[in-house]
Amino acid sequence: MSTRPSFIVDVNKCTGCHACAMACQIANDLPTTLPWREVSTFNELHVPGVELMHLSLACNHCAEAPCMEQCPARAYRRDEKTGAVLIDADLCLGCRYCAWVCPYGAPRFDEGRGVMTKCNFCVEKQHEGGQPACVTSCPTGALTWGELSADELVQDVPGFSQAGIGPSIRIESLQPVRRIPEMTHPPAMPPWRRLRKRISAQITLTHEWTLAVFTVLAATLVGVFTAWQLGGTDLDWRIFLGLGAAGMALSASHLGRKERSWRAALHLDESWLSREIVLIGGFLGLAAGVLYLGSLPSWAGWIAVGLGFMTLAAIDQVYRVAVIRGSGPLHSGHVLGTGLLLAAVFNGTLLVAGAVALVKLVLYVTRRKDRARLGLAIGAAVGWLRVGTLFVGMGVMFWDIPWLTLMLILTGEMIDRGEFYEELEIPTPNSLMLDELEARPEAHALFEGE
Amino acid sequence: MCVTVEDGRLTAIEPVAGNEATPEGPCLKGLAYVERQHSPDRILHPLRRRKDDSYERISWDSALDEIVFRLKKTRGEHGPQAILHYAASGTKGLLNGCSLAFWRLFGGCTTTYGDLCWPAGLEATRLTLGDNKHNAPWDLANARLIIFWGKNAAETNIHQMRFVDQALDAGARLIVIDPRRTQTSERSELLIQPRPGTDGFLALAAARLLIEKGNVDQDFIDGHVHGFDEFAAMTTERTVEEAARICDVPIAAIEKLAGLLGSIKPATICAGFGMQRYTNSGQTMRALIALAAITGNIGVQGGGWVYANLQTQVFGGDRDPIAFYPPKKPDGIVRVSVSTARLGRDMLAQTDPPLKFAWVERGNPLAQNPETHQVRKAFRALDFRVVVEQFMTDTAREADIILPAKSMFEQTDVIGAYWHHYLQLRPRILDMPGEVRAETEVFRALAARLDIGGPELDNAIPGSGYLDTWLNQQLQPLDLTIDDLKAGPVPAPGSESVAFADRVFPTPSGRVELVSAEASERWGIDPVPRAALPGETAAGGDHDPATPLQMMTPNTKNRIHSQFGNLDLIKQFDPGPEVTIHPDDARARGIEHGDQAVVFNRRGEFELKARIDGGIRRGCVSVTNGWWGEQGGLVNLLSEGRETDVAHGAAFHDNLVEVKRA
Repeated sequence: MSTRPSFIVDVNKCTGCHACAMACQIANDLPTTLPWREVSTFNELHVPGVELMHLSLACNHCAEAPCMEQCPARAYRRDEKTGAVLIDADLCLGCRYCAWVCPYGAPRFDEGRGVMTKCNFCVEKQHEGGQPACVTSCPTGALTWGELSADELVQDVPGFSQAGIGPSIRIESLQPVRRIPEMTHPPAMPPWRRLRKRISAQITLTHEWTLAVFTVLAATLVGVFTAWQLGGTDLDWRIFLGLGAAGMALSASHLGRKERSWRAALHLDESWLSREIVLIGGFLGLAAGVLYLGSLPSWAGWIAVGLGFMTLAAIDQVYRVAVIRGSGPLHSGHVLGTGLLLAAVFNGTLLVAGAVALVKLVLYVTRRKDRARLGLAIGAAVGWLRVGTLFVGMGVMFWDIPWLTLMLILTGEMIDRGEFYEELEIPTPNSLMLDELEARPEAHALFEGE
Repeated sequence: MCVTVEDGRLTAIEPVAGNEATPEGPCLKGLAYVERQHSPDRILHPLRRRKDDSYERISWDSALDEIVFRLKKTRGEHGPQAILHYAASGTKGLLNGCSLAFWRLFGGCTTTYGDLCWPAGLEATRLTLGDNKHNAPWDLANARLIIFWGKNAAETNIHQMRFVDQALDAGARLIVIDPRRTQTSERSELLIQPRPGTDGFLALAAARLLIEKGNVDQDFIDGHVHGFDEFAAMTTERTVEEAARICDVPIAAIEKLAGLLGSIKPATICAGFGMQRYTNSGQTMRALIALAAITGNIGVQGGGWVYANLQTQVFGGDRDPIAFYPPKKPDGIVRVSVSTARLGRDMLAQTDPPLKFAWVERGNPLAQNPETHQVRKAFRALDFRVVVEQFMTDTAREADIILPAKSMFEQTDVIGAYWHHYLQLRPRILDMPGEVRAETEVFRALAARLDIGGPELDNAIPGSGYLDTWLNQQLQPLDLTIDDLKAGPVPAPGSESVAFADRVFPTPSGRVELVSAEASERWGIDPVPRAALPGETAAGGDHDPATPLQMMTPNTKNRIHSQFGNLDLIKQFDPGPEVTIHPDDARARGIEHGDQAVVFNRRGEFELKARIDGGIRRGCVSVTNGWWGEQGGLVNLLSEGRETDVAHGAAFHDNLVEVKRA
């Protein structure tokens, strides 16, 4: 059976001293704000009856590395000899998508350079017959390294995502004798209302508002063009192209290296982000051409419509890597739904608009209720505004005041999209540990009364 | 450690081959030298305080001229003993002795006695076993029972954890006795959490059970223990139930402790230093050592009392705590009259002559000695202060002149240890940055200005060209040379990997002394280690109800006392001080995790973040020591300058406080 270089972490021996993390920073000359290796602690509050455990993780150089698969710019490559997954900073756009798709939080955004950076498995050292700096610096021998076969790569501990992507790491679980000391004074733990702060969130509306606006704008353009194609509305090519260009600019504005935006189209065969970029480019170009020339055959317009909806589907697909607690696979903030709704609204197709609006309403209300039960509710006023604009907007359609309908519907959709961004969570070792702690009966009281 | 230098910069620090105690990686502090050595905050030039308390760079000539002027003035007006020489345990090495040698040549000075760190435990060990030595670090892997008593090796002795793991893998049992649930206790099957300062009661109750059940090693006792009967009789003065009440631990826990000690051999008791920083510590530590002795765990592989290993202290002087610290002998030239534990009060109390001038090196008394307010007051009452430092510590900020101190990579020296038994060479591998000068050169420059010279000076303080010869002279009695040490760590001559294997105990009776007349004569304590409560404890019932919480100030893995906490590499893991508090104590005070809290008592107060901890004993709070004033959490604002019952240690931990929301 083939083997590959792998980290071996024995949590029985790890004391959480952080020497591995520091040695990595020293060996790779990293600023302390940008660690490649981090130590997460399970049960930092010392809940009685629950073990204390540290988990030191860097990049696991997965066999099926999602960072590499999903990088739109093909900035990642694999080192053949060691299996290391490496990022080439000269090719990176700084789109940060690899940080979303990695369940171990390995890629980090370097604000200064505008690119992603991550553990390189100390490949140079390995090529010279050495071992990674973190391994050689572990004072207790808890972090080692060796050639392991796939069936030796087991990792069943709190904080480690079971994503099934072939991480090159073996984690020795806590042995029963070292789990939990019998304590002469076990206390009762009180609820701690700050425990559930969104420590896992890497995606927030404040950070990603440009993407929220861009995605709703994309849905709007797809909707209005579809309605034009159906003959339901006028559309000036200049306005369309202007809005499209603004949207693209918005989406590029969050890139660390905007001058490399073109690289986003390089990974069509695997990356949903690449597909999204290429599709929207195709849609905007073709639709603008159709609008401008006015003389193309109608199938060209229909192709543009098809590209438009495929764009929206790709956008929704891009976000599937994040988790939204309390939500099923369909979300009322998905742009595919927004595109459909707006196409029907622009076209004045009341029945279709009503049907889509109803589905959105049901999705929205059930999700809010489920999230409230999880202690994740946000202000009721926002909810009423979102639902109200949808109702009133639909109602106004009867009076044929298109600008008011559009304004109300768009406001509602923006709110929903904003909530969507706020709800997105990327699981990290720390958040998974918190989930695990919450599942333990001994720690249950900690999470009460939120 | 083995360091890599590229273009004049440290780039990597790795374990050195040949030291079996630390075969894996260095600790966090060791790694952090990469930043510490080249930190932009390092003091690289002599500095003089301006009127507005800021500092200006001055030349060495003007710094030395001013210091010499002040020295002569002080000596002329008040005599040399108006000068305080204060040194602590920073950068170690044989050359550290040079500073006191300088003051002798100068005509004398006043200096301190005692130590902040470990004297009560050292003296308790010396009184009981005759010497401070223990088995080689790796021998712990041979233990079948390990008791970590007041020690959190995972943070303070991380390389010991490797041997704990080896022992556990081989089926050893582990008990931890500590008011805190720590990373070390996580490896144990039982965590006993007594009231701080009551460990002696716990040990004697366990001893009573062992003796009653006949679970002692009668052969060892008959052959090698002095005063067993008297000790045994003393243990019956208090029932196990009473002891359990005083310690506030379940009787079953004491029974389990005694049961394991009585049935599993070999057993090693690894004791921490915090426990011997109470006013009753000498007796506490003696009671603990007695447990190892009566169960026959002394002088055996895998067994013993692991406190401090002074087998590398082979350069003259014996291992008596009194002689271990400068000066070796009071000789009339050097006045040894200031207790380290009571530094501030004693400095202020000096008369005939009063103190006027202080020279501080390798230490940070403004942060680390008890009763910061008094220490500060005493320093400010002086006419002139010189501090030799690498960084702007709280103490440096009190100085009139700051002299830049070398780092350990900048001057060759020979170092010992206090856990393993290797002598090691610490070669100069880097040039001194800026205008930094080695202390030996500073003293020689001062000597030249003071007309001190000749062979007397050269023998006491080697010049830079003469350093290797001087070090070889020190090594000569041991039949060693620098070249021997260059090859790698060398076990100190005469060191034993199983201490006391020959059953030779250099005590007055030649046996392990459970009854010590010397203890009584020297320190005025009970000849038997009868347990008593510390002076300031919530266990007594007569404490001030306004301050009901016992404050502990343990060490952290992130610093060595007040060193390293200023580095970015360290701050990322430990950004600011926290007070760790039990959930019930927090709730009673309306404090939530992460709230700002004030810790206070009649001596002082400081504000910091609260950390709820389900593993700390109710009624205890804990703040790691070594924070700087500017970081908050200067723990000694709250401690009192008090000595331990033996050996002039500092009893910081007799410290009751209250906590409130800020």
